[in-house]
Amino acid sequence: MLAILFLCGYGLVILYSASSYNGEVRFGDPAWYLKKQFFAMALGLAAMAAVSSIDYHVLKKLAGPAYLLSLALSGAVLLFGDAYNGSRRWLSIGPLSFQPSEYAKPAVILLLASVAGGKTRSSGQKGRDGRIPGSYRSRGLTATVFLAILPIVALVGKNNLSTAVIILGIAMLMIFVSNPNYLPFLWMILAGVGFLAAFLSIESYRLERLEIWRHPELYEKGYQTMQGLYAIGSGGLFGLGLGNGLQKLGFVPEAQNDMIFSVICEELGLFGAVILILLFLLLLWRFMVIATHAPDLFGSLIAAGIMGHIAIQVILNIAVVTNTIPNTGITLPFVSYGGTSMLFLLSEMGLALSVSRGAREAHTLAL
Amino acid sequence: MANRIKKERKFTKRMQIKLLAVFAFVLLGLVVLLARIAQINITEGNSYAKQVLSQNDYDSQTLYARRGEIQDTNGRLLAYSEKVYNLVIDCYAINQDQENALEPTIEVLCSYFGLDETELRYLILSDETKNSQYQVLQVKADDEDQYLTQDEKEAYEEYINEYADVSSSTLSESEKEEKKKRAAVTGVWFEEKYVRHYPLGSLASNTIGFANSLGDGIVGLEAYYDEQLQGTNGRIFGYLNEDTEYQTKTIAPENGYTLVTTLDVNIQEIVENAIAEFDEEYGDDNDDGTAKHGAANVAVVVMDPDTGGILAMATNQSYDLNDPDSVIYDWYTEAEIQEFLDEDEDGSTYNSKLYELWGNFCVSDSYEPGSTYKPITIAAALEIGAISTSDSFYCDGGEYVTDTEIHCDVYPGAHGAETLEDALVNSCNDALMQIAAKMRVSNFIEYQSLFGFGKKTGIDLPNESTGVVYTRDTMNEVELATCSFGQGFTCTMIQEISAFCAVVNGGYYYQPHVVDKILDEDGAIVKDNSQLLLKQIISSSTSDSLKEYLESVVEEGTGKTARVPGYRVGGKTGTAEKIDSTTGERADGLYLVSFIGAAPINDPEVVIYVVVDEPNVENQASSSYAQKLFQTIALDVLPYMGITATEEISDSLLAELGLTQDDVVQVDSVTTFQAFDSYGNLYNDARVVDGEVVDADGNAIAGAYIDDDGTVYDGYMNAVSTVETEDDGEESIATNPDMAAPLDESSVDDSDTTLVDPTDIADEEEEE
Repeated sequence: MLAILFLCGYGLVILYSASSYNGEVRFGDPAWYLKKQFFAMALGLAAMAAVSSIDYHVLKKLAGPAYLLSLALSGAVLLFGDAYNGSRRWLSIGPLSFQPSEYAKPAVILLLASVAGGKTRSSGQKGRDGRIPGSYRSRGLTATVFLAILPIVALVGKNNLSTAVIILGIAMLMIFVSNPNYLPFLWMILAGVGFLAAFLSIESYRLERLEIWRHPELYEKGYQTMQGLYAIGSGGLFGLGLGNGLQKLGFVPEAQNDMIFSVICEELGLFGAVILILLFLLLLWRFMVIATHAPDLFGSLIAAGIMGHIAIQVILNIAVVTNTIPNTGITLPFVSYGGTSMLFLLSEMGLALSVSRGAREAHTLAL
Repeated sequence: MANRIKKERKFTKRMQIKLLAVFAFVLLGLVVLLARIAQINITEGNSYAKQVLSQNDYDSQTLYARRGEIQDTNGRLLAYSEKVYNLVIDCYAINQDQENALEPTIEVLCSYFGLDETELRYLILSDETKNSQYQVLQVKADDEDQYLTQDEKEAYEEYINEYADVSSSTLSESEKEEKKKRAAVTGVWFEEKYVRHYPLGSLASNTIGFANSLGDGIVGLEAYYDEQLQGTNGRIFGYLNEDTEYQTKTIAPENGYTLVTTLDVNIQEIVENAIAEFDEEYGDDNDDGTAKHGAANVAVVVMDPDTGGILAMATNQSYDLNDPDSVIYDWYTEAEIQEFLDEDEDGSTYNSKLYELWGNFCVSDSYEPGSTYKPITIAAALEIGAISTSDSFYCDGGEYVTDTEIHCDVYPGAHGAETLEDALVNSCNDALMQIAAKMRVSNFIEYQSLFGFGKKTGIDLPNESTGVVYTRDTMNEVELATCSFGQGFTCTMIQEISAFCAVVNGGYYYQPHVVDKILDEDGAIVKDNSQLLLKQIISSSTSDSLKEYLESVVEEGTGKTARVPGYRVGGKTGTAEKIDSTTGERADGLYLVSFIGAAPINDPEVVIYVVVDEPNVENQASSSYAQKLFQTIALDVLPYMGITATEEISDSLLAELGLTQDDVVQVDSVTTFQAFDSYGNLYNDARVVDGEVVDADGNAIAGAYIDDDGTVYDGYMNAVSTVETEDDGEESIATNPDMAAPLDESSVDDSDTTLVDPTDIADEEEEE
């Protein structure tokens, strides 16, 4: 819990530093991004408090409808969405804009947790022969799950490959954890690669990205990557000091979004980066503990899913910024600018807290 | 219930292991990424950092803030920054349109600025610089500053646009040709920057200090207030927007603040002239090119005792602020300078010598003050009641303190029986030792600290030194005895003069300061230092006693040489034997002589402190050098400040002092007196002019009048003076010697009138 608040605070400070120039340039207010992010964070913290106070079992029944809603929203965004930064990802409701793909992530986590948790439980009742329950139907289950999430992956992936990859990754991780076998994952990974390949070949610009990745300095579109690397490289061990970074001054595009990690490296150096990563690790460790102590499989899987979500995003984001993998738009949880993302991430934290509370209650009851 | 929980499928061990595996995998991933960051830093760090800096050069341009001005108290400019321009060419832009732009640009620039055509052509076309967008042209001779003034820039622009708005039809063929040529000039622009000027050259140089060509304050006020003076540079940023279009954004510079100092250029000039005369008189003629110096250090501080503001501060180490390095030739021979330069490769010896010369003796050097400290000892002793004004002392030429014999200056002679006043008038060490002994160590140290010794005064100048004083643990009887007459501890000039001001101004210790106000670009006050009363150390009655004694010192005591004809001056001499810095022993024959004085002593408006360190004379142990300097300065400063001369000037006095009538101000024949106006403001120099009671500036004093009998009443109906009507009708004035304060009931007709007690006024001042 403290780790979350600390991360949020760290995020706000960095965000302000990274975005003040862009805010000043675009909106005449250095704190423009900060204010919006702060608002989203306040909303998110309220949501977190609300979600953590309800019994997460209630959500089990809602998982299906929630998932269907996410499908509907993702569909809607394709038809009515607002384009920003060249991608159609936003749905406007009054003055607020909203990114359905962010909502899809917790929806998928809930759905998978409920399906996997539910199925295993029923199989568990049958399995009294000492064999590990669930193995009977694991293949079927995996197939079911895969089929279940395919539509959302397709819908989201239509214009937001990165989120689609994240959703797939979360799904894979959850099934991997809940499934006793290892074999199915081989073909799942293969399927994933195939899926990626298919996407890459459909649209040539994605192939171009691969080339840019390998030689960012040769391409005009490698500008963002190169500038990010310059920022990291100039940071050194302790950085230039908060607010002293030069690269955010219009050189690193979207310094407040995907590339915010490069600003951290520039201003706070390797040291700041290590601190941030340690914070994330602490958070992930907590999720793992919550998953282990959850009173039932549903809860465990929720925690595991959230853990997967954060882990994938953190790894992919940093990997992108350091040009370890090709450039794709993935934000850094809690730190990057993005209201919807912040809102749902904090809601997910609420969910995890709710599971954690369930675990404590169960423990007390058991005593 | 427990049963139900058991029945539910919990997370199996195997799942936990898998999850742990996932976590381990994530951990591994993050570690790999961190390693990647470290790798980027190690392998590419330097080149990437350079890249960042270079693109900042390329894509953004600094808009320099103008460094703030420094003014004297009357608004005279002491330092200001002038906007100048670099002539910059954009080779890239010229080459973009080489066909049309190249030849006209070269032609016009060469003819207008007299540049070398081959060099310019090479600059624009060579592979090295052809894509450069920023090449500063050397437009002037090598030994001049390489910039254009605003006028020169405007003249060029006028030249370029001479025919721009003229219709071609009205021009001759050659003019048309010229018009075409000038219009085709491309890629020439002016880069704005500022250069610092010190219009008064070396005046107040040790106080003002200077800023280097980068605009960083190095010494003096320029260094102390560097941040306020600098302002914030602006910037033009170039950046790529979402559609990768190049756009610019300007952040305007914020110009630095202006410092309005308490310095008065005229007083400063008087002081510096006096020091220069001193150097001229006592300095040796040097055939090695160094300047004449009448002493190792001559330093003068002039302070307003009612505000703590420094009116002038000067040493004999002044230097030209526009060419600060040249000072070294005043003090060292070519051979010595060469030695400094040869000493070490980075020139640190040479530089440290320069910094030494740029220093300000008045705040940075500490020394034993000697007898000028005696008024402070006496004031403290009176204040705590260790002695009273009626006490008497006996000087037998010295004092045995424990087993050390400490002599009075007159030893083997003696001052004999003395009143407290005599003790100061004779500058008797013996009496002072007795006084300090009565005070005891703890009180002596407490008051020394209250008067600001042993710690920084906080004056707004850099490198202030604290001096070294004894503490309760280190001071014993012997130290107490020597400290009583200003030996054994060290202080700075600014500490001594600030403390002395408190002794003579009624006991109020003001924060000494040089900057009165800090103004922003629009003239709004950012900071106001004008009245920084810190504390009242002694009562006004103690102060009054001391003023009386100090006046006697000058009238009939050791300070007679410092008398300023026409004025009531109070002051104290100092002759301190110096300690040889190498042996730590008293250095025979090396003295620091000084004089500190206030005028007019009955209500001091100015305090002048003169220190002459090791005067260049056979017998250094005479404070007369300092006294004479004080007198020279005061003779000019007092009339300049509008302080009315009140005393008769007799020819015998002038003869005694070696002055002529031309040296002194003529006594104002108008008799002045003190008077309150009806608002309770006290005027010290009220007078009657044409039957009206007016202040020194000739403004009527509200409520004051003259009755039919010729008695002058002030705004509180105190009879303050009389006007006698003589037969020939001319008015002459006799001042009531017992001028009454408003509370003096004997002279108040209407006792119901609400009166303002002068002590109330004092209290109010204190509250402020």
